[in-house]
This record gives sequence, C-alpha cells and structure tokens, in this order.
Amino acid sequence: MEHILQNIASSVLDGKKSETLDWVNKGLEAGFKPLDLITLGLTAGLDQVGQKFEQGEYYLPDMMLAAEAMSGAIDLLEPYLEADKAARVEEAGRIVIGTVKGDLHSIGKDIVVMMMKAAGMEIFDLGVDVSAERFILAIEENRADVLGISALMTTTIGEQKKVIDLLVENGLRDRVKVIVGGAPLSEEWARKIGADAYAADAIAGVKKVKALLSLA
Amino acid sequence: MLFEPLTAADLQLMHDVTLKILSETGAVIEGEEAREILFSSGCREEGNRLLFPPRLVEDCLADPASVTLYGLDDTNILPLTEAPRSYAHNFGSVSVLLDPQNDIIREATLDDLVSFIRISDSLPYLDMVVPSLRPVDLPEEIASLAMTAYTLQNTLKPVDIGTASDRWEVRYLIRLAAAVRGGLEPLKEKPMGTISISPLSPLNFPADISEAIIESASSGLPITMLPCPTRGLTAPLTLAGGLVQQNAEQLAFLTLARLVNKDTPLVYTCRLAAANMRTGFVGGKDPDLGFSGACVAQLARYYGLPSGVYGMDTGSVLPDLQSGYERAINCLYPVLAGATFISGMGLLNGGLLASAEQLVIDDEIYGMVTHRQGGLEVSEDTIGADVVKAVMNGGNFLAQEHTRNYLRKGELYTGRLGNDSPFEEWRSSGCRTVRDAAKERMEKILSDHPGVVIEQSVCREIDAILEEAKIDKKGS
Repeated sequence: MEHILQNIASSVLDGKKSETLDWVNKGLEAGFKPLDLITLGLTAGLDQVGQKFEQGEYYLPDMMLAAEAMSGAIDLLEPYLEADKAARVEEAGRIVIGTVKGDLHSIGKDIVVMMMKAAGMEIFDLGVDVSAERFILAIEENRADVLGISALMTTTIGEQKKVIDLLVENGLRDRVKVIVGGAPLSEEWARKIGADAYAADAIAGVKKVKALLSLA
Repeated sequence: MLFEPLTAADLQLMHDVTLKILSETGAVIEGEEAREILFSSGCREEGNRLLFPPRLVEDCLADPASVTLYGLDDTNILPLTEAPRSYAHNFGSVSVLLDPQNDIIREATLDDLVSFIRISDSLPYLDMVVPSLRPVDLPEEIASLAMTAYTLQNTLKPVDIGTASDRWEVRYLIRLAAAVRGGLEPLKEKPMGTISISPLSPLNFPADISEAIIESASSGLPITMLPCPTRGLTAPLTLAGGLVQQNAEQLAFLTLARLVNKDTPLVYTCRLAAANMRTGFVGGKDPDLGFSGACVAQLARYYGLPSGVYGMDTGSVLPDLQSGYERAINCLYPVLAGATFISGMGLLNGGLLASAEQLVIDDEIYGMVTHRQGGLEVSEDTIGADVVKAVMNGGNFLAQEHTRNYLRKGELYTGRLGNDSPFEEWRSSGCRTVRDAAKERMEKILSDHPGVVIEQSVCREIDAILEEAKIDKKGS
C-alpha cells in the first residue's frame, strides 16, 4: 500500500502526468482518502521537486512538468474533495493575477500561475491586457487576498502603478496584498509604486506570496 | 567569403517545415482587416488560427523589394539589399541606465536620451541610430513618438523611425519622419529608416499589430519585421526549432505585408535568445546568441532579404571583462556570416540596462570585428616582393613608400581606446583603463557635437505633431 504513495510522489518528481494519474487512480481504488493522496503523495513529490530546484539540480521545465502532473491529479481528485475544498483554499489563499493593459506577454505570468496552483492556491487568472478597472472588479468579485500584477515591457510597467493607485482610490488597498513581477522591474520600483512585494522569478513569487499571507 | 553554418539541405528543410507549420498549424491573426485580406487570398480558419496555403506564401516571397536607407545629409547611405558590409546600430527602448559618473543604476532622463543620440551620431562605426532610451520625464502617452522626435533632431545618420505597437503610432511616426524629410513623397523616395513591428511568439499577431503592419505596408515605407522569441519559453528550446518558428513568424508577417502592398520593402530581423532555464531571465550571455544571428542572416539571404540580428549583448551589469568577451564573441559570428544589421551597441544586462561608456567601447569592438570584413586583397602590389628586395639590398621597411601608402590606406587597425603602450608608459600616464578612455571620449564627443541638426522651423513642426498626438491620444 505504501508503495502507492511513494509512486505518486516519484511520478510527480519525474514530471510524468499520465503515470501520476495512474497511481492516483490506483490509490483511490485501494481506498486511500483523497486528501491523503494529496498531502502524502503529490505534495511530498512536489516538495522534493522544490528541493532539487533549490539545490540547482532541477530547471524550470522540471518544475513545470511536475506542477502539471500535480495539477492534473488535483483536477482528478476535485470531485472527491468538494467538502475539503473551501478549507484548503482558505488556508492557501485566493490570488487574482494578470498582465497589465497594453501588454500581451503571458509566459512569465503563466509560470507563476502554474506554480501557485501547485501550491494549492486558488488562482483567478485574468490573462493579458488587463485594465486597472478589471483588476479592481476581479478583486471584489473573488474576495482576493493577493493581487499579482505582471508587466514585461518598459513601456507598460507604468500601468502597474495605475492599478495600485486605483486600488487606493477605491479604498481596497488595505484589503489586498500586492505583488509585482516582470523583467524590467526592481525592488526599488515595487517600493516606489507602493506594492507590498516584488519577485524576480516564479519560485520567489510563490514564496513571497506565502510570506504575504503569513503562511510560510 | 562568408561563414555559413547551414547547408543548402538545411535551408531547404527549414523552409519546407516552415511552410508546413504555416499551412497545418497556422498563426493567430486578429484584426478584421488583416483577416479579410488573408481570407480573400486563400487562407482559411481552423480553430482560432489562420492557415496559410504554401503557394500563397511562396508567391509573396517572390521578387522582394530592395531597400536603401538615406541619412539626412546624403553622406550616410546604407544599401541594405546586397549590402557591402555589416552595419551596426545601438539598442532601443531601455529605461534604466548605468550612470558613467558613479556606476549608479538609475532611470533615464530626456537629457540622457539626447546625449546617447549625439554619441551615436558621432561614433564612426555606428551606422544607424535607434531611439535608445525611454526617459521617465516624457509624457507616457506619447513617449515612443517623442523618443523618435528627439532622435531625428540630433543625428544626420539613418535612424530607426521607431517601434510601433499600433496603427496610431505608425501614423504619427510617419508624420514625424516626413516632417524631417520635407514631405511624405521625399520620405518614400529616400527613407531614413524603417518602422519596426513585433508580433508575439509563438505565431501570434494581435489586432493592434496586424493593423500596424497594414498601415506601414500601405505607406510603402520599409518595415523591420521583428519577432523576439525566447528558446524554451516562447519557442522550442532547440536552436533549429527556434529558427524555424521565427521563420514562420517572418513569413506570416511578410505575406500580410506584401498582400497589402507588393512593393513593401522588408528587413528580416530577429531577436532569438535563450532563457536561463532556472530563472526564465533572458540574460544575453549565451554564445548561441551570435551563432543564431549567423543562421538568421543565412535564412534572410535565402529569401533575398536584408537581415538584422542581435550581436552586442551581455548578462553583465558593468562594461567589464564579461561584457567584453560576451559581446565580442556574439558580434563576430553574424558579422562573419554577412548579417546586414548588428544590434545592441551600448546594451548591458540582457537588454535591461544602457551604458554610454559601453556604447563608446562597442564602437571599438565593432571596428575591430569588421576590420577585415571585406576579405584580404592579395595582389602583386599588396604582397610587395619588391619591397622585400629593396630592404634586403640595404633598405629599411619604415622608409618605403609602400609602407606609408598602405598605412594611409588603413592596412593596420589603429585602436582608439584600448591600451597598447608598454606598462611603464601606461603607469606614468595614470594607469588608465578602457573605461576611463571611453568616458573621456564620450565627454569630448558631447562637447564637440553641434547639437540639434535640423532647422528651427522643422523642430517647431515636430513639436506641433507631438502636441497634436498628445491631445489626440487623450481624446481616444
């Protein structure tokens, strides 16, 4: 029986989605609780992925493939988890994220989204070319804890400030933590526009969001 | 004699697979006007993508229009089609710089932009001036246009008219360039530069971009097709895969542009880079940067188009050793491969930082890299057997006419910046580094530059266009 959990963890570690799904199905057949399959199998595997990444052995594609295997398995288990779902999300946080108006670059944000999903956070991905107004609406609609604002171009990073200014105008600034990302950014820029955090890459992003939510 | 890493069979396969990608996978093309044009020419839709019939693409590739750029004073003319050598230009649209006075990283101001343009205008090996810095003190809504305006006012060399992100910008960029050239017709006859337009990778043309392409192509002015895929993030990790994907992006761009206007002159330019696969950052220090430029030059030549590639870039934050070896290596490949344009003079840190010192040092690097680009002239006279005989008969090489003549003709590269003195002399003259020399040269250039190079009346016209754009943008 134990070998099922180990195999789930190691197929996540290898980033093999179909193997992961096979082992999760076997776990269900063998009578494991869905939540145990997640915490003792999937998450255990993902933790090892994180360690390997930090040790310099794993690269981004290893992370992404593992995260995809993980989120595929979560989708599979979702129907069994309805009762626990609210509690899990409450714990991990609700994130609204998007790329600013005038900017159509999605890849950096997509990596962040995938990593956050794998960390169990509930993500409301608004996509690219998102106006300040749409960010505000989505925060209210989804009762977000954290807002992630992405911009890749020197011509569009100014939009990040507009979003934060509009948050202030709408009296929402204290209700949500703001994290910004994008290649031309810096800590200095994040401070200047009034963000709570800046992350240079997706891994740092997930860590900082956890810190913002005081979970780490 | 060119360095050509791709064989004829490689090129054929890359072309065939490109057509296959365009006809079977297709490209996302948004914007009603572009879709209409492509549908009526035989493209069809599948899912959210347009499929390009191979025959249509082949037809659009036939008989490419030739391109020549003309500086304002007619002394700087750059034939791009069958260019006799590789041309160099500086980077574009960077908002942060390394201050040469104190090595502090800070945001660029309008004064910095003007300085960068004037330095670029003065450097002998820099052929085309690109609107380089994006200053924080320009009104944001017209920043791109203002960058072009200040560039046009401060150089007589060919320029990049600007990078357009929508139809509105194309219209105003053309008006600015036309004002400087003295009208739209003279501008078409003697364009001083191209308009650059970037699709998204992979294979994605948003409505604003397809409209910008249509607007530019209709004007008849030359366009720089500028896909910027990143291997491993927005293109296959393999260099061959990245090259073919960007080729498909080029040919989709070209097909649309030439359906709008068969005579559209096009420059096949690509910024193909690899990301650091641990962070996703495109640091610019990969030696494939230069090698891919050589391949892009070959692909462009295969289609009879001029090319533009990365060359001078580095992951380094300082104009240091790392910067020196990375940019020299990456610049050498495309120059040896006969690329038309080499980009990146003055650029640091994978494109995030600008440096005036580096700009000056790059002029030196480019001078050295291109010194023998024309090949070696081997003749009875260059060999100079008679001179050997004369010296053997009791003469002196220094006292030969042959020596002096060829020295004057530029047989030796005479460095301008780096040290070539014995250490004693170097020490007694203050232990100057190449950065000290670059800084000094930069200051001299700035004090010698004549300043604004166009007439007051034209400057006023430019100001009026910018003012109109500001009001127009607010109204929209």
